[in-house]
Amino acid sequence: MNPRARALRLKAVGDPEILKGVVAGDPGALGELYDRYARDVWRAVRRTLASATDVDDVVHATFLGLPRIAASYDGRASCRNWLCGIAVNLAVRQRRGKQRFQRMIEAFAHTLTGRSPGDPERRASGSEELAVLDRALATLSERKRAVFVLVELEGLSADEAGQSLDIPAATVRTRLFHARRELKSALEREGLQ
Amino acid sequence: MTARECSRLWQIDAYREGRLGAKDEESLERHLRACEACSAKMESDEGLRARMLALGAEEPNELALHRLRARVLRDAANGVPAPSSAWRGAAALVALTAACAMVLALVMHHRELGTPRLAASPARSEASPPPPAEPFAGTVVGEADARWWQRREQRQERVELDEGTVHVHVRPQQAGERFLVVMPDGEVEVRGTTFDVTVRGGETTRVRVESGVVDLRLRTRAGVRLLDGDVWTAPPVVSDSPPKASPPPAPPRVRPASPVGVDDGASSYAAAMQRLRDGRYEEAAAAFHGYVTAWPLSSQAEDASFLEAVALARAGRLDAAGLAAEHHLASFPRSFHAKEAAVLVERAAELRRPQNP
Repeated sequence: MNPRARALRLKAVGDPEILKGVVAGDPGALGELYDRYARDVWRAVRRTLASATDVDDVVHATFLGLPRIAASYDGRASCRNWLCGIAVNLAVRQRRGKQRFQRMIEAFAHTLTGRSPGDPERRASGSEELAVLDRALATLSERKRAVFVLVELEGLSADEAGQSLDIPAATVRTRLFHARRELKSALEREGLQ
Repeated sequence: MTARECSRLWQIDAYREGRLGAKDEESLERHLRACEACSAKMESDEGLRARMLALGAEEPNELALHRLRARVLRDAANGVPAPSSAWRGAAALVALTAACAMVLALVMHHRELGTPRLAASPARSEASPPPPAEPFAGTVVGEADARWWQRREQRQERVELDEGTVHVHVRPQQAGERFLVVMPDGEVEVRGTTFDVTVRGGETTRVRVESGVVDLRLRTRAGVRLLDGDVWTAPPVVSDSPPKASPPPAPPRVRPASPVGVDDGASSYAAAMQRLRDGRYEEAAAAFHGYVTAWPLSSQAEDASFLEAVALARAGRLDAAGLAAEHHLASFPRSFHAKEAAVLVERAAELRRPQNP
């Protein structure tokens, strides 16, 4: 089958079959899967990582690693949540390894460009609240942040998030409980809750 | 009722996660209308979610996503392993350590005399040979009775099959690379495909192509080209006994093999170029496609593959051009035309994207 016909055929098939193609090393299948979910995966990773710098690398690693792990897919109609789970798991690992260095860089950057929370210009532009939310999310540990991102923002169930992060669903719920509590406290401190 | 007093607060999480049954859901919804504590928690949790979702307003850069796509496909085609997400500094340290290890391995290698540069079948190897200088392009799995070797030198990889069946998956070959399976009575050459080869009693008896294109060249027969799903089986041996009543096996679905080494299709390439110059873009695209299919190993296959995409673009078929360019990037990851091909892919992706009103 010529590449064009194959690409058109791939548009019409479901995720499980596409993933079989990925396992078999079909670049067209990998490209099709990328077209379907790269944006969702990118957003999930962006929410997990405090910095946008490494998001592309994590997305790249997620899709490049698929041929090795796609065989483990459970066959659900949509693999979006599964992919987001893999990506967030990778992002957590990356974040853990870089955390100390990142904190130092961010602190340095803040001294150069940061403005006070009460900056009237930012408040007027409407970005102040987002900045506060971003800071609050960044205060969570990487474990709690990953769970919060997957369940609350990406819509995974506790079971799905647990499978992605390789932890029991009960642990997911516990971390989620603490994540919510910490976020609410942080927002209260900032006067947003 | 305060949050500490209500005994049904725990159900809020289950409700939001959809773990409550229909009856319990209805019951909780009625309860929420009456219980201040539960409704406050519900509102608080939903409000937090909504606010945090607002953080996700940041969208990926489309151009960067397209570049990333090409990078993923290129690395997948080259067999590049998924990169470690570790800190780059740590990666640099690992690289330095690896460099030291390579120097040490090189010194040790020179001390060993007569060590063959062969990667033996796991079934046969008793002492592991030293690793090859570059990773294998093909993954070979032999059946229990298979006797085979795999080696790679100077971008040419050979699997020598003496007996039995091997299942082979080969990543797309780059310009200058070759992949051969050598049997006692001939050889198979591929450019990136998945296939099986069986040898019995010193003769090739079966070749099955799962995907891709396989050129089968046997000493005693004309070469054949096998495509997706084709199965070639050796014709039965002619004997003195009278022929059986059953019909002979159906011939394989084959195309005439290209006379590799004799004619590299220069005339076909020139004809395709002429069509492109004449503005007959559809015909040119078809001609370039036919050229790449017939002479995938020729030095002009890379150009022809790219020019197919160019011809389609000039014919106004941008979507098809994008697909052809994508195929070009996958087939020739280090193509001289990679940048231009990536532009075609991006243009096609722009077209496919739904337009916002």
